[in-house]
Amino acid sequence: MRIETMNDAQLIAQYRNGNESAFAELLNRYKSKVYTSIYLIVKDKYITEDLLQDCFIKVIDRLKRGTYNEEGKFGPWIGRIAHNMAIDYFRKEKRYPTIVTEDGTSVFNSMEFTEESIESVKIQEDTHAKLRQLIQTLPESQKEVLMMRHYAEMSFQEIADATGVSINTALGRMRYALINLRKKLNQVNLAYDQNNYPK
Amino acid sequence: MIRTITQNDVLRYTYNETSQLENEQIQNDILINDDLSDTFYQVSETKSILDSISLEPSKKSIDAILAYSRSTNLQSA
Repeated sequence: MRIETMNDAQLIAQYRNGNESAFAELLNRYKSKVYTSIYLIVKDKYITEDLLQDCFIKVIDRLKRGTYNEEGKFGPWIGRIAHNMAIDYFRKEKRYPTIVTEDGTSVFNSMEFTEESIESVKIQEDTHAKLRQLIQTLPESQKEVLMMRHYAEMSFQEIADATGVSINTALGRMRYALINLRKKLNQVNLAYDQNNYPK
Repeated sequence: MIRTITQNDVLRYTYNETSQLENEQIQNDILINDDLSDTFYQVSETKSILDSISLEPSKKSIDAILAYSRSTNLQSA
């Protein structure tokens, strides 16, 4: 079986048997999700790079020590590690996301756009920058659920358990987060354009 | 089991957290209930936009992680 077609559990088993290519595939699958989820919290590309490395080092240590036991749930597991590291960073530094200046221009210079015109890339950069700014304006409780569900890939039940609320409260916060975000997008005239969001 | 579908159910459906049985009922209710339909399209559209935010780490970080992995020995559980 080819590495690319293996599921996460199969890749972990291969990695535990010494196949480094299996880990490279896991890293490739989750690097963007982890990076994005951390960046949207800390809003500093250099700190994000550091935390990304710390996150995957923790993953490597757990996998190679054989202490990872969440078979089949690698995505939510690494999502939780990334989210917790980003939050811990602010606790240690006594800093809060809301007082950090937004400057994403340099980050988007490193994004991978292939076979796209300069104009469409510029539209995407502008749209993504505005979208990131709008996410930061959501109430903290809504932003937290949005990050945990959308980027850390935790289930609503896992979010409810982690934040100490009922699943209906977590669902309600997420629903309001998405609806509020949609309203804010409309207010700044950031209409959804399928051409700007290629799958 | 037939039960009333809520907006929270539609949200769980959008994020693939519903069972096959729930999916069928939710899909039917979205077609006949304007409130659920509105929720579904608003949530789905915003989710698509959020999906578009995907940042890439530097090659330097990726190389450092892979090098750490290669240098770390396997241990027995």
